[in-house]
Amino acid sequence: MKIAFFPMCMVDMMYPEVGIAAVNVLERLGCELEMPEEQVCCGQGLINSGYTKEMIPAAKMMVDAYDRSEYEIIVSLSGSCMNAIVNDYQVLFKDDPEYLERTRKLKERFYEFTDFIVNVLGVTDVGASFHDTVTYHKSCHLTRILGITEPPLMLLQGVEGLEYIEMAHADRCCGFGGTFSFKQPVIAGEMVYEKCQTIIDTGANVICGADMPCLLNIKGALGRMRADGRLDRDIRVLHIAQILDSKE
Amino acid sequence: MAILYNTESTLAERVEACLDDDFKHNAIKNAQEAFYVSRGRLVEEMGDGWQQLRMHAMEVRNHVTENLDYYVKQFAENAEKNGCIMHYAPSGDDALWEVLDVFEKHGAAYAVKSKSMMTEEVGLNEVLEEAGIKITETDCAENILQTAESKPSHIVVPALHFNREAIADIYREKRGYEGSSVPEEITHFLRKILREEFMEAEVGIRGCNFAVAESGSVTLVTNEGNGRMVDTFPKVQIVFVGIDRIVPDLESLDTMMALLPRSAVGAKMTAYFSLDSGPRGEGEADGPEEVHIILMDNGRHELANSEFSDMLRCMRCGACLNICPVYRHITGHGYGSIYPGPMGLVLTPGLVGYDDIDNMVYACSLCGACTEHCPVSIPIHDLVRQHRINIVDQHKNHAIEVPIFKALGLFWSSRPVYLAGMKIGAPVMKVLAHGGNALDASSTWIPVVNSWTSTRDFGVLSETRFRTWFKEHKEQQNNAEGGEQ
Amino acid sequence: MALGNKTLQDLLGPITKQLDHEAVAESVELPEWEFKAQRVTDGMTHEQLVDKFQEEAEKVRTEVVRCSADGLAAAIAAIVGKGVPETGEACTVIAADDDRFAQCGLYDAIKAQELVTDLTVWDSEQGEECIQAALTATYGITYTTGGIAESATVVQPTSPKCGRAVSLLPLAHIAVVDASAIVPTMFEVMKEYEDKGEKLPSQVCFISGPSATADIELVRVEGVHGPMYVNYVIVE
Repeated sequence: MKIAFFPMCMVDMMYPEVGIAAVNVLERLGCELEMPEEQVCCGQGLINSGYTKEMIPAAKMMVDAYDRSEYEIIVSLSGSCMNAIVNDYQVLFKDDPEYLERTRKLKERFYEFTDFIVNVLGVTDVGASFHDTVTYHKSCHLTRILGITEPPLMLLQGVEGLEYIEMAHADRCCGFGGTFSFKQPVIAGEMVYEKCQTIIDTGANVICGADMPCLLNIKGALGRMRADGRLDRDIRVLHIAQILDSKE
Repeated sequence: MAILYNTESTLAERVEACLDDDFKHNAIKNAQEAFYVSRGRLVEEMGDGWQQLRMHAMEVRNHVTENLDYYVKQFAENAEKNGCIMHYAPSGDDALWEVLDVFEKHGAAYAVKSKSMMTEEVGLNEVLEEAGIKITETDCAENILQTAESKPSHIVVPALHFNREAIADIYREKRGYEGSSVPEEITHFLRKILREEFMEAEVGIRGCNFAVAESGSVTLVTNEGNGRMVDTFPKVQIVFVGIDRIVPDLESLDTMMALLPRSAVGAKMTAYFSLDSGPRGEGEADGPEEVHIILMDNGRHELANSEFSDMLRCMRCGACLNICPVYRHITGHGYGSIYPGPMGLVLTPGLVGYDDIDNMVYACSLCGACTEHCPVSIPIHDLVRQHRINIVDQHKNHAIEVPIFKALGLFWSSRPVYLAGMKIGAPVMKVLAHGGNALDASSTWIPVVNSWTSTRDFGVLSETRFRTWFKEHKEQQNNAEGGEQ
Repeated sequence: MALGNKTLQDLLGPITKQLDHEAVAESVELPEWEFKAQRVTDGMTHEQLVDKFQEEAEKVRTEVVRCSADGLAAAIAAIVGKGVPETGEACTVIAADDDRFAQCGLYDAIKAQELVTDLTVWDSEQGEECIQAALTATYGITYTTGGIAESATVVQPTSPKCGRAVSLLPLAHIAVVDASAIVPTMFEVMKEYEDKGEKLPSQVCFISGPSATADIELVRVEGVHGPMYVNYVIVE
C-alpha cells in the first residue's frame, strides 16, 4: 500500500527518532512510504493566535505538497496538526474555493497514525514487545475533535509485556496549546505540573502519547521536576510509535 | 458590577494572585471534580439520549435566534397579556433607568434580590445603593459576597474562595452571628436573618432562566428557595429578562430543563423551578401584585447573524467552567469579568468589544473540553479563536508580537528559511543546552524562550533532521531493490 | 438618546436590522424538529413510573409513603403525629384548602394528633394571618397536580385555595400526589398546559425535594429558605 507520510515539523526538527520509529512500524506492516520534500509546517500556531493571513502560505504549501493523485492515503504522526489541516484550513480558505475544495478532498484521505493501523490496516498487534508500565496521555485534538480514542489504547494493549495504567483525567489538556504555552507561561506551567502529577501518581515508568508537542511539554516539566527534586525517579517520555517499534 | 469589574489589574497580575491563594485554588479544583463526577453519572445514565437532547436544544435555540425579533415581540405581547408591565431596555442604562423609575413610583427603598447575571451586567446594586435603596442578595453565596464585599469566583457556587471560618467571621463581624463555623449552622442563621428581609422588602428583583414566548412566562431555577421567597412576598417584582433567554413554547422548556441542572450542578432537577405568568391571580393571597419585566438587549443583538451567533444558545449553566483546565487554576477572579471561563471568553468581548479586555482571550489552550461538554453544543473554543482572529484583523493585538508571528509565518512556509534556521539553530541550542538535549532552568535569561523555560525544560533542535534520514532511507531502499533486480 | 421610556419598537428595530429582516414577521411556524431525545423513562409502564418517582425521590432525600384514597388522612396524620422532625416536639400545621382533604377527614385527623398544637387551613381572605401561620409552621400540606417520574418532581400551581407560602415557609412540606398523575417527564406536564390553551396559573412551581445549598465549602445543607424536610404521599 502506497502511503504519503506526514511527520509534522516538530518530529522533523527535534525528534527524528520518533519519525524513524513510525516508518519502521508502517513498513513492517507492508506500507510503502513516500514523503513530499516541499513542506515545512501546517502553520497551526498562527491561526490559534489569530494570524490567519500569515498562515495561508504555509497552508497552501501543505495542500500543494500532499494533494496529489498518487497519494491515496496520507498518514499523519500528529492528531493536532491533522486537525488543523482537515478542519482549520476550511476556515482559513473560506474565501478561496480552489483551496477549500482541495482541503476537503485531502480530508477524505487523511488518517492519523494509530487510527490508520487499527482501522485501515486492521491490525492491533504490530509485533512489538515492551516490558514496562505505561500510561497514556489523551491529547486534546486527537481525542476530542478527531474523536480518535480507542486505537492508541488497542495498540498498546497489543504490545507484549506492556502493562497499561490509566491516569486520572487522561484527556485533560497538558497546557501546551501551541503559542498558549508561550503567551501564558504561568497558566500553562500550572496545567502541565498538574498533568505530570497525575502521571507520577500512576506509578508508571513510561508516559506515552500520540502527539509530540504535548510530549515535549510533559517531558520539559518532568525534567524540571526531576532536576529540582519534586520527582525522585526517571519517567521516560515516548511517542506511541516508539513503543510500537520496540523489542524490549 | 458591570461586565468587566477589574480593569485596573492585568490578566497576569490576577492569575498570579489566584495561584497564590491555595485555599481558593483547591476549592475550585474540588468543585470541578465534584460537578464533573455527578454530571458524568447523569449523562451516562441517559445513554444516546444526551446527545439527542443537545441536538434538539440546539435546533430549538437556533430557530429562536434566527427569528429573534419575532420571538422577542411575541414574548413581550404575551407577558403583557398576562398582566405584566413591560419595560424595554435596548441598553443596560435604559434598564437601570426603568428600575429606578419603578422604585420612585412606589417610593420604595428596600429590595431583596435573587441572583441574576443581568443585574450584575448593568451594575444594578451599586446604582440602587447610590440612590439610597437597600438591596439584599438572598442567595447564600451571593449574600456572603455582598456582606464581605467580594466578587464571585465560581458561577454556580460563587463564594468558594472563603472557608467556613472566614464566612463565620464575616457574619460575626457584620451581622452579630454567634454560632460556630459549621456550614449547617451558618446556613440556618442565614435562613433566619434573610426571612425577616424577605418579609420586609417592598420590591423583589430576580432574573429569568428561560422566557416562554408562547405563554409570556418567565422561569427561575433555584435550589435554596430564595427565588421563591423573592417571588412570593414583596408586593412589587422586577424581572430581568435577556433577549437571549427566550424559548418558543412550553414544550421546549422540558428540553432545556433536562439539560440545565444536569450540566450546572449534576442534578436531574433543582429543588425549585418556577414558571411565572403574571402577577398574583384573583383571590390569591401571596405572590407579587405588580410584575415589571425589564426586557434587555445590551449588545446581544449584535451576536445574532454574526460569527458569534452560536453564543446566543448559551444557558449560563457553567458546564464549560466545570471542565475547563485553565479555569480550575485561575478561578473566576482571574478573568476579571462577571462572565468567566470559556463562555466568558466568548461572551465578554462579544458584549464589550476588544479594547478593555487585556489578554483575556488568550487564557485558553483551545483544548475543546468546553465544546465537548456544552449542553447546547456551542463551539466555544472555536469562538475564542475567532475573537483572536478578529483582534488581529482589527489591529488590536500587541504591536510587539506582530513581527514574531510574521517571522513564524515565513519560517513555516519557506524551505530555505526553515533549513537555514535549522542549520543555525541546532548548534546554537546545543551550546545553550550545555551539550545536553534540553534548555533547562539555566536558560531563563533568553528572551521569548524564557516564557517557556521559566517553568519547563525545552527540547533542542536535532542535528539530523527526520527528512534527511528519510531521504537516505529511501535511497537505500531503492539501491537494495536495484541490487535485487 | 434619552434614557428609559423605550418602546418595544426601539428594542426590536436593531434586532430586525441585524437579522437582515425587512420587518418583524407576522407569524413564524415552528419547524418539524429533527431530533427527539430518548429518555430513561421511555417504555416504562405506569407502575414502573410510580416506582421510578419513588426511587428518584429517595435520592433527593425525600421520604415517600404510598396509600389509598381512603388511607390519605391516616398517612398524613402519621407523619405530623410524630411532631417536629428529629426532635419530636409539639408542632403546628398549615394545609391547603382542598375538597379532597376535607372529604377524607384530614383536617380532623390532624387536629386529633396529640403533638399538633395548631392547624391553619389556607384562606385567602385571611392572607396575612395565614402567611404568619406558615412562617412558624412545622408542616405545610398541599395536594399537588402531578408528579414527574424522571426527576421526582411534584407540580404545585398557586391558587386562591393554596398559596405559595404553604409549600415554602414551613420546616417540612408534605406533598400529596395522585399516582395516576405521575408522568414520565416534564414534557407531558407542559404539553397538558399547552393543550388546555388557557392562561397559566400565576405560578406553577416544580418542586424536587428539600431546599438545599452547597455554598459553603460544597457541604450540602438542607433547609435554606424553603423546607428542610419533604415528604411525598402517593395516593394509589
